[in-house]
Amino acid sequence: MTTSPTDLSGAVLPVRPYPGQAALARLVIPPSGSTRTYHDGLAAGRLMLQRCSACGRCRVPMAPVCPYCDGEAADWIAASGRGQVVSFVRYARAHLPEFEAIVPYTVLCVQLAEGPRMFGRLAGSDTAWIGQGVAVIIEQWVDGGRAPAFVSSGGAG
Amino acid sequence: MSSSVAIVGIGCVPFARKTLDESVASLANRAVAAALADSGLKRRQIDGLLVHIGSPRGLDYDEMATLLSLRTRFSSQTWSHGRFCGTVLQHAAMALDHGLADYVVCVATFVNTRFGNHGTVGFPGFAENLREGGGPHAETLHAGLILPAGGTAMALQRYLHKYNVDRARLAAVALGQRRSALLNPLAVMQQPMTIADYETSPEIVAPLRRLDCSVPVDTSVAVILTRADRAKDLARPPVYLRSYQGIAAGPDEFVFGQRGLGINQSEETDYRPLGAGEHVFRSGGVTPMDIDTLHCYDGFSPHVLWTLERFGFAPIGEAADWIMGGRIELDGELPVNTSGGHLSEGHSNGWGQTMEIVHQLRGDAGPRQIADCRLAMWATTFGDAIIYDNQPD
Repeated sequence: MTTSPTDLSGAVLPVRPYPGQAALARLVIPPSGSTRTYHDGLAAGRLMLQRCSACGRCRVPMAPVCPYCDGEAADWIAASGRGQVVSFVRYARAHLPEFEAIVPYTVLCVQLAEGPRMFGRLAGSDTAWIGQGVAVIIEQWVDGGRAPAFVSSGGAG
Repeated sequence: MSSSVAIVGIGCVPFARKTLDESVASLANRAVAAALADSGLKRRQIDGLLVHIGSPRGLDYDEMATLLSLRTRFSSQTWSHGRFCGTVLQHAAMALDHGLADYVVCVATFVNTRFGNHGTVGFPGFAENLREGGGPHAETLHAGLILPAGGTAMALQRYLHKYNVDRARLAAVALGQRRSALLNPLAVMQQPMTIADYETSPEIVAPLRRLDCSVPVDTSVAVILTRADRAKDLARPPVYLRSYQGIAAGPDEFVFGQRGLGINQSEETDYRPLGAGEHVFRSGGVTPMDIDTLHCYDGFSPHVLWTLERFGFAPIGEAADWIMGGRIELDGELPVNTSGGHLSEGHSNGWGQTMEIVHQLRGDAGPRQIADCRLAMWATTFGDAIIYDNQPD
């Protein structure tokens, strides 16, 4: 995979504390050379998306090959943070201690404005529906780890 | 296709929801010994071993062979997930077809009750949640998308919306399979289920209810296969593998979601199932209409709907309507998971269904016996399938 130099310009997203008072480290893959741009982006308040250099489509998850055109070269763009709910589920109880303080909670599958779909928790609300407009936020966990989540943007997306 | 390979012996440890006071090797041996007795074969005749679910929930192939005094010249094992029942049987068939072994035993042993629930920290496979492509069932821990139920629930919610499906109709899967389980002494769920039970069942991961979820069990199951020419001389009527096809994978597949939903898949599409055009039907020279009974991987009840659609039994998006009126129950047009399946017999990773297929095709399924049952099918929402036949051609 060829990756262009990191360009962290683009939309800066809100950073909020994760309300569950937990550490993130056990829940995420440590950065590697292939994913450092994504993690650097979160640290700088941005959600970085891999974009195929051949067909121009963004993809989630990060991968060495484009699922649409098989292109192996990619660069990165900062997501606008806008998206629309395509599905959601609700957890009545926590199955990992990191979520005990926030149950019940809702997890969304969101189609980002840039095209790919991404899973993330719905923060600050219990109400989700398909078609709902949402915005990406970045949550900071107690160990300093950061991960994307969503908030309702108040209407249809 | 002429049937070149057959199941000639089955055996199991009765399914248990509690921890059995017995070593894993002893459990595995109980199943293998029962399968040997069923087939009339001697232990020293077994020269192939395929293991599904290894250590620590089960036994790995090498210790299995050592501790059970098996001497094999073809040995293999799949990843420790339930999805590989059909794949294991297909590998056995291929090994037999190529002369790599003459008598293969497939063994699945799993002692789930000794560990934490699937998806939690105490489960042996917890680290798999952090695979680079997401967990084995779309688990995404930072998002709180946890447990195999999570990905299925996400796909179900999209499915209900995309095809305008009435959520209430999903109850027919759990209710129907429970009615069959009540006729199966091996089934762990022996209490009748009412529609009220279903509708008041707590939402584990909404929209999935507890009664949409399979029931974990501890057990071991062994299945012995050989080539058709050897099969006919053994103790029990052979159950032939008429045709089969493997698991589908790639950016457009999600193991626990219908194709085309765009959940843990590259994008949402207007999915048109191949149905009767699937390889398993074409190479078997039959169509969905010819199948007398279907057995499918039902980790969660929507998987039954998606399997019916993927393999052309029901139109895409319409399986929940299609199953109305008892259509997939024992006396229906297409009896499905007549053992009770993972939902009510117990989550045997497909091996309970495989034993049930053998019983149905041998004609010894007792009160669950389907009249004139000749063709039985194993199929999954992730695309693998086997058509079984009790006649050699």
